[in-house]
Amino acid sequence: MTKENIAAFICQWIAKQKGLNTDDIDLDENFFQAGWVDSLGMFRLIFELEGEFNCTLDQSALFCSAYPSVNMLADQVFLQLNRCTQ
Amino acid sequence: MHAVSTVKFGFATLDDLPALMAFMDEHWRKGHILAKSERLWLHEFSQDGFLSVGIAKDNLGQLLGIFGYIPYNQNALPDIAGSLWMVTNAAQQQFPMLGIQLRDFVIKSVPHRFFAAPGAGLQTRPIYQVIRMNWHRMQQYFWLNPEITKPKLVKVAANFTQLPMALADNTLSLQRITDHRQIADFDFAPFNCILPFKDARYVRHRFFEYPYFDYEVYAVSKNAAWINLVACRRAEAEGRTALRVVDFYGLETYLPEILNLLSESARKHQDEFVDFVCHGFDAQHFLKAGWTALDFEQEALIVPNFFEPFLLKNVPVYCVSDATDFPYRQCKADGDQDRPNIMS
Repeated sequence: MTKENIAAFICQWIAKQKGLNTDDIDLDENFFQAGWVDSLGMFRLIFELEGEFNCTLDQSALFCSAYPSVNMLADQVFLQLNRCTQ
Repeated sequence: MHAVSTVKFGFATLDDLPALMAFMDEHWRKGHILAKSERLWLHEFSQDGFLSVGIAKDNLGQLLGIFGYIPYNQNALPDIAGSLWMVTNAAQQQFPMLGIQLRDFVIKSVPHRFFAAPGAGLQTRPIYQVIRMNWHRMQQYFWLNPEITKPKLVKVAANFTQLPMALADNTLSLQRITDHRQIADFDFAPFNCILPFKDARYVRHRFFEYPYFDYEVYAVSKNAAWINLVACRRAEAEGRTALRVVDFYGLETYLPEILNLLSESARKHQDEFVDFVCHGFDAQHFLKAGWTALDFEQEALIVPNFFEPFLLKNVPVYCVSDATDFPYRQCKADGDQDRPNIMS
């Protein structure tokens, strides 16, 4: 599993929820401010990520990000997945 | 509205009470009882000079969010209920995850054994899913008084047939407890493994010192020994009454017989119905007593749950809890539930 795979999954999830093309989503843009994800959406997304990658994520770390973007979330999930499998 | 540069988490003190009440009025619901009643705040949340309410404030000291909790017992590691979880819309826009961060702060700051509470909003279900808490829909069991031929509180389906009432164990009796000091005669300790564990202090405070409702607390006696406690409340609307069972203490062994005694009490008092909103009890006990589990998916038969103000509608209540292997029971009056929402 690569960080790019995770980012692609997040991107597709947002695109599906919001009726966007994945090309419309800037991977470094704050997805809250862009209106792509709200707080409940964030919980749903994490739930989907856990299901997709068959893992249990540390939510505290995910929720504390000061600038949440697709790439930042993918970074966090990637780090956590690697920690789990080491 | 101003931009917030920092957020500080902490616990409310009595000095924060006016701001908390204003917060309820502005952000929860205009005129909510906790926007008007300092007495209820102090009853539910006051502990040794501070309030059991986690708060998030901005750099100007304005309240951005609240998360309350209520201990079920006085143990070093008490079981606790969550209550009043809200973040302002403005703060939510600037800090979308502030609500969960505030909850996280409270849960990590307050040592406890188990967290469980009724009254969770359906919209919060995805949150609880992700934070790995169990989500339950509470049952509402009821018995309709057959002597009330023209009910006003319930809507009865034409084809509804009540199950027959089983014969009661005539060695059981209900004794109304009118003085909270009598509670000392009930041994709570053996039930520490039924979660959440509610102790004598909780019963006294919750049912004998509650500022708005008059509760009826009964001891169930068998061979002169107290084997259970049951808390009830007679709710009124439309000039009629209903007997609401709101809490239960002890083992379920004699629950069918106890329910029979409560049905009998409702019949004698001409209550339209007796009910119990709860989770974690064996449904068979209710069926044996001739009680029925309300089907929330239909509207032909309506047994109301909300009386303050009265709402003739089937409304399910949801509860959340930590995962546990212990028996978990939740009752209508647990946490901050069974309170009036408006002041008359």
